[in-house]
Amino acid sequence: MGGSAGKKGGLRALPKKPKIDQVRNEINVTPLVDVCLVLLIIFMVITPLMARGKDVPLPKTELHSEEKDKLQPVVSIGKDTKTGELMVWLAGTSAQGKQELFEIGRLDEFQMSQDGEQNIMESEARDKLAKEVNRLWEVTKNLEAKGRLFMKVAADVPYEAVYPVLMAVNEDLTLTTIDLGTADKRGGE
Amino acid sequence: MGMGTSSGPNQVKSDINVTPLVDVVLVLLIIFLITMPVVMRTVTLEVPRKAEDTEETAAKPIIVTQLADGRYNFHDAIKEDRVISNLDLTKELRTVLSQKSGEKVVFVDFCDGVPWQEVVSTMDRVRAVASPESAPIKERREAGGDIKVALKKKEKKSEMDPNKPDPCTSR
Repeated sequence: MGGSAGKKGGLRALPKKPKIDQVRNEINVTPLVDVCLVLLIIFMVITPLMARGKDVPLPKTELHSEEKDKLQPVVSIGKDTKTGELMVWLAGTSAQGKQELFEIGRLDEFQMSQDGEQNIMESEARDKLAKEVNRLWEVTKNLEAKGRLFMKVAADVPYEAVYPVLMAVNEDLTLTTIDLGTADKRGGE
Repeated sequence: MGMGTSSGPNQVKSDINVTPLVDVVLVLLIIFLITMPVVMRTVTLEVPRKAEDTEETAAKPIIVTQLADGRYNFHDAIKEDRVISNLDLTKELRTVLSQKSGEKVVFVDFCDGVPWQEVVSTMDRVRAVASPESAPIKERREAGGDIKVALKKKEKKSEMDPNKPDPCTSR
């Protein structure tokens, strides 16, 4: 028995020289590591750009607070890249947890009355904004999102154009506070 | 074969052990995925706050109105209205707010033509009052929340006090 085993061993030892033919019994981790590192870098680069809502050039601040995203609806005000008009968009999370973004209307549809009485004019856009925000609050699964609104206004929009939207939100949705989106002054420069 | 098995464990492996490396990288990936998108940079604004909320703020409100040229009209119950530069705003607010007990509310208003960047910068300047400039930035950000920035509702023409000139048009 031992003899035969020795013989076998001897026989096997002979064709051992071509090492390349040997089957490696481990996974080849090098490509795995490559893929993981590339993924890591991609996510590191993309995540700051993944902010919800229509992307607008935000004003820069230094002493903002950094808060957890509560998945509240996001109102964006900024220039449409195609038409160059100032628009209002709304983004939110649907009942299925998917992100949705839709156009509310032109910013100039939100207006104060011209008689100096500071009433907000009725408009389709104003109704739509109130209706859609209420709908988003209803379908949200995140309790913290209810009754909250996040507003991203482009840095170059004049105040008198934004004011009617702030008033409409305050009146139609009975909101008392709004979170205003800003960018980090030091990171952005 | 016998020789091969006996010498196996004694052989020095020259490759790095990648398994823990992969573990660490995957865990890092997951950490980034979870933590990165949840931070939102915000400045909270109270939209137009009802003056009757607290008697104190209603009686002696601090109203900061930014003029179209970037300067501020500073209104409080102690002194007459005055126009100050944005550098003096922090100083002025600091002295006025330090005398105030209870809730610290600053009403802000903006004249036509003030860009949104300035609107938000003004809130930033108001928040800066809450802490000394030498404090670390993280501390300053937290302290900024102590001062409430409220939007002043534009006055109706019919309710305007004719003796009190509108800072936007009078200067």
